[in-house]
Amino acid sequence: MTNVNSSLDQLRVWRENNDRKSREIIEIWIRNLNSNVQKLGKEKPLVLEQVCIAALDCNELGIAQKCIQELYKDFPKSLRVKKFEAMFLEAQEKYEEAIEILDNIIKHDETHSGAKKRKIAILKAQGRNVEAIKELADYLKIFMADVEAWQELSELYITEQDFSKAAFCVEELILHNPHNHLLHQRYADIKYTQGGLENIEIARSYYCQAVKLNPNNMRALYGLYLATTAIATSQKCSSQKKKEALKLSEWVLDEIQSQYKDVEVSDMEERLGALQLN
Amino acid sequence: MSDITFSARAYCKIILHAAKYPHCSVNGVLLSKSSSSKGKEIEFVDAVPLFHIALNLTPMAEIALMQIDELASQQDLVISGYYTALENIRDCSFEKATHRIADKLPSNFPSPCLVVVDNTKLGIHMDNVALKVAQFVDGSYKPSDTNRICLNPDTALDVCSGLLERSGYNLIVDFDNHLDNISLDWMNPQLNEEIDNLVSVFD
Repeated sequence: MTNVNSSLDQLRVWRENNDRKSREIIEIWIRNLNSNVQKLGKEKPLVLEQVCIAALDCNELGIAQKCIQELYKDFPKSLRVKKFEAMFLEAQEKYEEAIEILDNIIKHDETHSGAKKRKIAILKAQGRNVEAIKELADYLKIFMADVEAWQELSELYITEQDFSKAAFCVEELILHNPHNHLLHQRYADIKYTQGGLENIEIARSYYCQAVKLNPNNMRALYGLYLATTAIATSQKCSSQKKKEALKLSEWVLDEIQSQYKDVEVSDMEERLGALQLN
Repeated sequence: MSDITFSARAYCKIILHAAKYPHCSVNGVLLSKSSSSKGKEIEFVDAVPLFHIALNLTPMAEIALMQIDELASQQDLVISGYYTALENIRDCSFEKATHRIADKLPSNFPSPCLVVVDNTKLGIHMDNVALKVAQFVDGSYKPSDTNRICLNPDTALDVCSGLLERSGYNLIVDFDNHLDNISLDWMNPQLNEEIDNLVSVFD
């Protein structure tokens, strides 16, 4: 019984942190939970859902099927369980059958965002990224507060190298979550990638904000170094601006070096030295 | 026929990187000896895994390449190839794989290679090299004949299977991992040791 309890605790932590950990979840399931389904207690449906998704991720279709059957026993008419059935078909690349189930769910409940998102996921799985983007944009017109969807859309745009639209999505995300340093850093990454002095200056501001929110964000520190160096060496800048940028780039290089102070990685000096040459 | 050779280190790192993040696109660069930069024959002695998050954003790639270039040149190595495994299991086309790094490579090395993992060939026990290679000749990347791709030593496939069996993908560190936790080294000294050990076992 202790095994079951400790397994449940571990699974709960991963659920709450949104950790993917599919391989580990399946290992725990096989080792401790598979033969103890009746002992899962109040968390049973949540655990079954979590294991089901992990199983689909690892192509353990037998386990996924068992989870879905257990869920159907308790909730025979649930649309939520039906969605898992559709995902089970998706995993076998039976997309048409999956879409049939999903359309059925949407017919019963027009506001079922999960089913709509699965349909977009199918487009993505078929490699139809452009259509997936269009569908996701339509979806966001209705479900504007769906942060996950904005995140996904920004990543799709980055894959398609449409950086200005990706930046727009991240702006939405920042409005929803203004204190998340990762979003400020991502926005700066996109602006820097777009290039041009104006964008790089925007990138510098957002990297600064990210560093202010989390002084240990290495991507933001490195990014700030790149952006300030680019401004300091740009030919289009006034000398006043260049001086400021140079000062900031020296400061951030110090910060980067102090981050590495207590780290034991070989040839660290050479690695950082490579930055200074520019 | 001039060969394109992958060392056990290079091959295993590419495959383990793809295995660690089966749900993401991943990429990295390949290193070869700078003394052997003439002709189309090329031997990749090592690979440096780069990213699994937002591959098309450039700032961290710039940082990584500066550092890799510096360390490589000290060991008399040069960045001469780019590898990627795409997110979608059915994708292994060179068009989708191409990337700014691959576009810039020819200015660093005369006939670099663009390497794509053939996702559908992946498995714990592999009989074939699960890679597709295009080499830069006369101004563009052209697909190379599979006969030209070899492994050194021949047992590299067994080494790779051995690593996958013992979950070796947990060992590999890419530049994204390093940025999340800077005590992790993207040169992968620990994994190198593991690979060298296995190579001597299969010898």
